[in-house]
Amino acid sequence: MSVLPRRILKETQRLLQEPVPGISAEPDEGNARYFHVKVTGPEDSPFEGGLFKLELFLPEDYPMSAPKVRFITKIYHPNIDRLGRICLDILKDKWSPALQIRTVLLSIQALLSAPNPDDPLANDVAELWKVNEFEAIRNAKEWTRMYASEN
Amino acid sequence: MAECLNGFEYQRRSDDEEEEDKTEKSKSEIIECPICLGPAVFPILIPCGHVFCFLCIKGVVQQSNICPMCRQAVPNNFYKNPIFLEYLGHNQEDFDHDGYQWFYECRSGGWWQYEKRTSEEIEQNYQLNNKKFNLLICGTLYTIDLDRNVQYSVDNPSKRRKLKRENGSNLLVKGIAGIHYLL
Repeated sequence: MSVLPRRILKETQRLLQEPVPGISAEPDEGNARYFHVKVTGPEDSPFEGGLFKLELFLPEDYPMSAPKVRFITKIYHPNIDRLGRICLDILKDKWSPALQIRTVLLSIQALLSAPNPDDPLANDVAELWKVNEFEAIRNAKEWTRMYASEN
Repeated sequence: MAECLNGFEYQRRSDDEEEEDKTEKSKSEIIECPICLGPAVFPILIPCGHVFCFLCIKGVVQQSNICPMCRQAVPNNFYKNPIFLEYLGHNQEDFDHDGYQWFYECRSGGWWQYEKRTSEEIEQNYQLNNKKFNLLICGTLYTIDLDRNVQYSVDNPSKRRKLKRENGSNLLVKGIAGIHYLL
C-alpha cells in the first residue's frame, strides 16, 4: 500500500463536498484511484432523462497524464464507441495537468449536448448522424430509454 | 498498486495548518497552484501571467513547453534562473520529522533536501513501513527504494541517486530540490 498523493485526496474531498450538478464521482472502496461515475443526460439533448455510468481511473503519473474514462452504460453517440471509449481531445493530446476530474466530467457531459459526427469514433453512428440526423437522434433517445433509464 | 485513504486524516490536519497560515498572512497572498492544488510552494510567475509551484511548472515544461492554464508557449529555460514571487526560505518545521529530514544526493557532491511535499510523502510511507513505492516528483514518476536508500526514474532505473533520512546538521546541504539556498 502506498500513500495517495495529496492532489488526488484534495480532488476527491472536493468532489464529495461540492458535487457538480448532474455528476457524481465516488472513489472505489478498494482502490482510491478508481472512481464510479454517474452522469445525467443533459436537458434538451437526446440523452435527457438518462443516467449514464462511467468508470474513471487515475494513472500513476496523474496529473501528468489524463484520467482514463469509459462509459459503462451503452450509449448511441458518434464520439463514443461500443466499448464505451470516448473521443475527446482533452483526454488525449489536449490534456493539461491543470484539468481535473471535475472538468473532465463536465466536458464529457458537454459532449453529450454537442455530438460531433465529423470527428467520429463510432463510424456507423456518425454516418447516420450526418446523413439522417432525425433518425440518429431517435436512436439515441431509444437507447437512452432502453439502457440508461433510472428506473 | 493498492492505495489507502489513510491520508484523509493527514489532509484534514494540514488544511487546519493552512487556515492558520491565512491568519498570519493576508488571504490574497495564498495562491493555490493549479497543478498540485495546494498552496504554491516557491511560487513562480511565468511570462503569460500564471502562477505555479516552481517544481510543478518545471516538471510540466520539461515535457511540453506550454502553460497548463492558457497553452501559451513558455520559454523552456525559465527555470534555470527562477524569480520567485516569495522566497520563504528554509522553515525547518516544514521538513522536520522527529528531528530527521529527507535528502537526496547532488550529482556534483553534497545533498539536496527534498521539497516539503515530497518529504512529507516519503515520511508517510516510511511511517507505514512501505519500503518501495512510486512518487511523482517534478512531473516525473520515481521509485523510492528505502531498503537500498536510492531513488530512480521509473523510465530510467539505471540512473540512481542515493537518498537518506538523517539529522541534516552535519551534511553539506546545497538547497531544496535543486533550488540553491540564498545567502
